[in-house]
Order: sequence, then structure tokens, then C-alpha cells
Amino acid sequence: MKKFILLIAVKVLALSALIGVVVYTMMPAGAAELKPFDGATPALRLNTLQGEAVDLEQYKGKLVMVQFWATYCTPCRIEMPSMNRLQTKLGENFVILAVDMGEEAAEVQQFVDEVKPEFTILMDEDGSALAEWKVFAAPATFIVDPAGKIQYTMFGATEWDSDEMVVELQALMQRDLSITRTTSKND
Amino acid sequence: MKNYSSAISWFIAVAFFLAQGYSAAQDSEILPFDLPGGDIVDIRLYKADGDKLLLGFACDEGTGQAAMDAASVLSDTEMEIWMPDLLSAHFLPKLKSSLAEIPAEDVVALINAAIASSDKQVYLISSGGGSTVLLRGLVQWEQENPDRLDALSGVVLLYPRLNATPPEPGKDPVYIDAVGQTRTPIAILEGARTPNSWALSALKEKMQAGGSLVTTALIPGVRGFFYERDKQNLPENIATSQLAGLVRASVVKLKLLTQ
Repeated sequence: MKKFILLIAVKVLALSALIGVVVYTMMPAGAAELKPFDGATPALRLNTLQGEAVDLEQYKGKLVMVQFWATYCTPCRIEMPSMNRLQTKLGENFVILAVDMGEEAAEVQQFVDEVKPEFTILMDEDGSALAEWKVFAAPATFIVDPAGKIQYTMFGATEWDSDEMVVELQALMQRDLSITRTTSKND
Repeated sequence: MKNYSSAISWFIAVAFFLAQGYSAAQDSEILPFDLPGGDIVDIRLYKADGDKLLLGFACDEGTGQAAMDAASVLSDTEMEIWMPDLLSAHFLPKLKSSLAEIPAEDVVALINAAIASSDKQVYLISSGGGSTVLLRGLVQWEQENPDRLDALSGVVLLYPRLNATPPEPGKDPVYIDAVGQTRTPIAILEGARTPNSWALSALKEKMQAGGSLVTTALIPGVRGFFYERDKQNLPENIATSQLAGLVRASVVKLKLLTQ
């Protein structure tokens, strides 16, 4: 009987700890930060959820967020509304390309209907882009400058429309747009 | 009335949950074992007559419901199970960060004890972050026993989490030093619905660098830590109910790997 009571006590403690862990892991990772990146920028040619071909090259001159995500990734789901707001705040010179990690169109569509991302969803069903971009976790985000070069990466979720993030991305967008314009004039 | 009946349902569910755990735990016995540092670890032991012994790491005596059920089924099918509670032995909280504090010497001592206990083929098993404890210990055991590596028949890793640093987009994963230093055959089971599944071939390649033969398998529709999840999807529910079968299949794959 003593053993049984002890077992109940252990179970209750374990359950409390589990609840704590679940709550903690579901919180957006506020600590996630943009990290400078100095590697090459792979090509990105994929179809949208609706089947339209998209090439990263076509967004030269704009700041592009390429994010790899999956429907089963809880932090991805949590941060998407803030990505919608970021898109609104940064305007037409900012593009989000959200690449789904190897799932089927039907389940992605169900997610889209539910979470309502207002940006482009790309499908990487065979994981070829994942391999090219060396993505092994989600969400994995790349910030590609208007010249088409990856400037920053981030692993984990964040509040994308926080004041700090908006200022940082705006600075990158303006800096690189001016560089692009200067280069164009010189050309 | 509605509240009353829901309270009764809740009580019945909790009682069922506890009774189930109690029943699986009853199939086992606790064996105290002296660790090299002087602490004592309790090993939950599911005895069996067969020719295989499965030594599990790290850490919690296997008190997770699915792990206990699987151990119980495996021992019924002639596979002996040892589940040492290394965290409690060192008064460590059940946190991922505690795993780094478990001495590799403890794992070595337990492997030696398992090998010495009988003529059974000894396999090691772990999951998630516990795989780091297992691999660190295995590396040390192999270094101390270069002439009897065949005393260990293989390693089963369920959704191993072996990254030394958080994954960085655009860069190859960085694993703990023990990855790629082992020679014992390894079978990895990973959920197909986890980003880690995309790193599986990289992990396999790294692990083979030390000489281990490595076989990998993806479980369709399943996320990492599938059998510990509160809210399971249908494939996770099925995979959990078949956990013993998945472990047994991995042991068979290890055997085929070395033939």
C-alpha cells in the first residue's frame, strides 16, 4: 500500500513537471536572434501551394524572408501571425517565402485554412531545398537582402513584428536598397 | 450534475492511468547497484529467460508509462530489461541539462555488470537526450575494452538528440564528440514528422566515421518523443502501442547488419 501511495506521489510530481515542460516549450522563443551569415545563397525554385512556380531570383531588389517550417512545428504556428503583421509593417519591398518541409499539400492547406498566413507558401515535398539550404530544424529563417545574399539566419521562433526586429529589418532593407540603387546607377 | 459526472470520469481516468503503471511496475523488481563513485543506483529489472538483455539509459528507471509497458511486453517475449535510474542516483533533477552530469564511468560499470550477469547478448537503448549519456559511456567502454567489443551486440537509439549546439540554419549540424567515435553497431529510429528526420543521413554518416555500422528507419506520421507526448496523433498512438515491436525489430536489424 505504501508503495502504491509513493507511486501516486511520484506520478503527480512527474505530471506537474511534464505540464511545466510542455508550457515552457510552447512559449515563443523570445531569445531567438538574427545571426550574421557569410555563406553562399543557394537557389530556391519551388512551386507555391497553388502550383505556381516561384524563383528567389525574381525578388531581387526586395528584402526576402525565407522560412522553413512544418505544420507539426508548434513554434512555427505561434509566430505566423506576427509574420503577417511584419509583412504589413514593412510593405511591398518585403517578401516572405515560407517553405513547408516535405509535407503533402492537403495537410498544408488545412493548416493554412486554420492559421491564415498572408504570405507565399512554397512546397518542398522531396526536401531538395532543405538539403540545399542545410535546414535541420524548424523554424529556420534566412533573411536575404535585396541583392540576393543571405545576411542573417535564425533558428527558433520570435515575435517578428517587435519594434526591435522591425527597426533591424527596415535598416537592412534601406541600406541594401540604397546599395542596389547606387549599383544600378553606376551600371 | 454535469460537473459531478465529469469529476467521476476524471477520477476513473486517473485511477486507470495509475493502475496501469502500477501493474507494469509490478512485473519488475528493483536491483540496487554500486556505482564507481560510491553512489547506489536502482535498476528496474524485468527478468526474462531469453538470450537477449536490453540495458536502457539514462535515466528514470523507465517509469514512463509507454516505456514500462514496452519493457513488460519485451520481457514476456524473452528479452530481459534493465532500466537504471541514474538521475536519482546522483540526486539530479529530470532536466536535459542534468544528463551532462552523469559520469561516463557509471555507464561503463553498468555495461560491464550487464555483460557479466549472464551469457545473454547485451544491447543498449536510449532515447532523445539520453542518447548522449549512452554514447559517452559507450565510447569509454570501447576504449577500455578494445579486445572484447563483440561483448556488446548493438545500440538502439530512439529519436536521438545529439547536437552539441543548437542547429544553425545554413550550417551542418554539430554533434557531441562521442558521435563518430564508436564501433558498436547502431540502429536509429526517428519520427518522420520532425525536422531531425532531415538530418538523419548526416547523423548516420558521422556515426559511421568511427567504425559503427549504422541502420536508420523513419516511423511515418510520428514526431520526436512520440511515446511521451500528451496529445498523440493516430500514428503516434499506434507507434506507442507497438513500441516493444519497434525495439524488437531494431534488434533484428542490428543482427542482420552484422551478419
